[in-house]
Amino acid sequence: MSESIPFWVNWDIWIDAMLVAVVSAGTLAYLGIWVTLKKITYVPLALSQVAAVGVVLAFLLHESLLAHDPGREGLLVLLEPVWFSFLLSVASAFYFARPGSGGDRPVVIAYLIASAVALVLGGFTRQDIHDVRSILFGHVVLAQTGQVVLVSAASLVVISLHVLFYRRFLFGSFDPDTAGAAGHRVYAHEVILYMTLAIMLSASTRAMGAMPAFGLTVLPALVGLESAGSMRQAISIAVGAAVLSAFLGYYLSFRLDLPAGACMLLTAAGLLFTVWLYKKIQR
Amino acid sequence: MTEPLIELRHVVIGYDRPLIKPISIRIEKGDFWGVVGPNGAGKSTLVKTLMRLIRPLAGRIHIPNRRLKFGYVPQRHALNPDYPLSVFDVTIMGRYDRIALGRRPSAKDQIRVIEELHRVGMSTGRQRPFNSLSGGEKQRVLLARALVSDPDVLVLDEPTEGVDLVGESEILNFLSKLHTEHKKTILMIGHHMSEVISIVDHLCLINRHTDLFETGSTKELLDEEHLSRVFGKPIEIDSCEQRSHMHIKDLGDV
Repeated sequence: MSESIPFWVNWDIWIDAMLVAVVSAGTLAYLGIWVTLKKITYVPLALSQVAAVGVVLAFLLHESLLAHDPGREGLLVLLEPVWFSFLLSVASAFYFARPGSGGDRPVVIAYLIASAVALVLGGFTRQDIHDVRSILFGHVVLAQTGQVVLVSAASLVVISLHVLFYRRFLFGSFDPDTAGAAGHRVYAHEVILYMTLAIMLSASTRAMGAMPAFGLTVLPALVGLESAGSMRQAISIAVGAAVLSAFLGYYLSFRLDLPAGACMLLTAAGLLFTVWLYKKIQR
Repeated sequence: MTEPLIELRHVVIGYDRPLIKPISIRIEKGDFWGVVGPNGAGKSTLVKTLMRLIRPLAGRIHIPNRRLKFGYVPQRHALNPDYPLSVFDVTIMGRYDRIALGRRPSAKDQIRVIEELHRVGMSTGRQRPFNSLSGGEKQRVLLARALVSDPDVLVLDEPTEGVDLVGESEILNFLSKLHTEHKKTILMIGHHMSEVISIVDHLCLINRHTDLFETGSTKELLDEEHLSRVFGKPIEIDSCEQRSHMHIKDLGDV
């Protein structure tokens, strides 16, 4: 994109990418509030890598099935990479949500192993390693209508579950022992919370890339928590900051011909530094 | 013999390996228990096992009433201070088990919260951030949260730790009143021994370092021999006007 192409007139060029970015950013920022408060920053990183392993596995199965029986192409819809990434990341969510599983260690180990496995298995596919990485981690400017549908569906599932379980998540996260003593199923609620994170991260990582997905989970949530006095305010500000970062970041990347994901992250980081500066001046 | 509220029969407590020899304890309705022992003695593990937060490694926990409700007051420093929650937000958590999924707290829930906050002396400043409160105020809010759930058993983990003398006295008087006037069953892990033994009627002495576990009425166990064995140091008890005061020889108060 060059500066000479008008932004607003050519909305049909960027609308899919913008929708993917805005919906992903808003939902991830909300989930980021939980990630930040629960101090589980490694979990989104590990989940996105596990999702990547699912994608590579799907590619390998595709290739081996087609090699033996090229006529069965119709059945391969079941081997869509997205299902594999959902499946693996949701399965990991069960493990990460376990109480007393040794703090960050298992999550960090899962992250490292998943990263290595994705790269090693990627070497066995016929795709060039660069292609595999780009399929794994997507690129928001290349987002298509199918990804808008996928990200929106994932967002809808996540928001619905959080509307239902918000209070359970809050009690179980803030004070798990008391919630457990009061009869709440803390582990089950943790699993649901981690699953929503897995669902949204695998959809967003495929659509917009690992770095923007992770960054938009953490940075806008910090903006919200740094500037709010209540959970409601923190969530509203985080979602607002994420949507603004996605929109403004994409706009700047379009006008200045810069990488979109990086522009979104830098916008979110700019908002965070503004909040920190404001708080410092206020003191 | 009446049916107990909770009974532990030869239960082995611990996370991966046994913490102490198999233990048995019987808690009846209206009892006020003090769980006493030095730091790291296994007090919190015992109480969490009683509330079924930790599975016992062996033995049986018998709770005849399957719907028995626990109101737990954890140590306040175990709570994450980053959550932007008000006094009201924290207290109403005690009603969450009555609120259906996706529903908001009813007017009745909100009234109960206001009543209990008033009862523990926190009627003003319901919208104050929980983390801006003093140690004693936080403890009272956590107590109100436990009470709004109308529990069958109130369990407190060192409720007076880090609280000033006036605050400590207010909390202990409140608990004593709750027990005598409302016949509430209470289980309290003690911090200040002298204060605990002045209000409880049953004692549970525990020390995993010396493999010691004894239960009984305060009268039975409140002697220098038992307490010296629990703390592993010589302890003297002075009694004055029906109140007991303990101190370690040459070291001061316990």
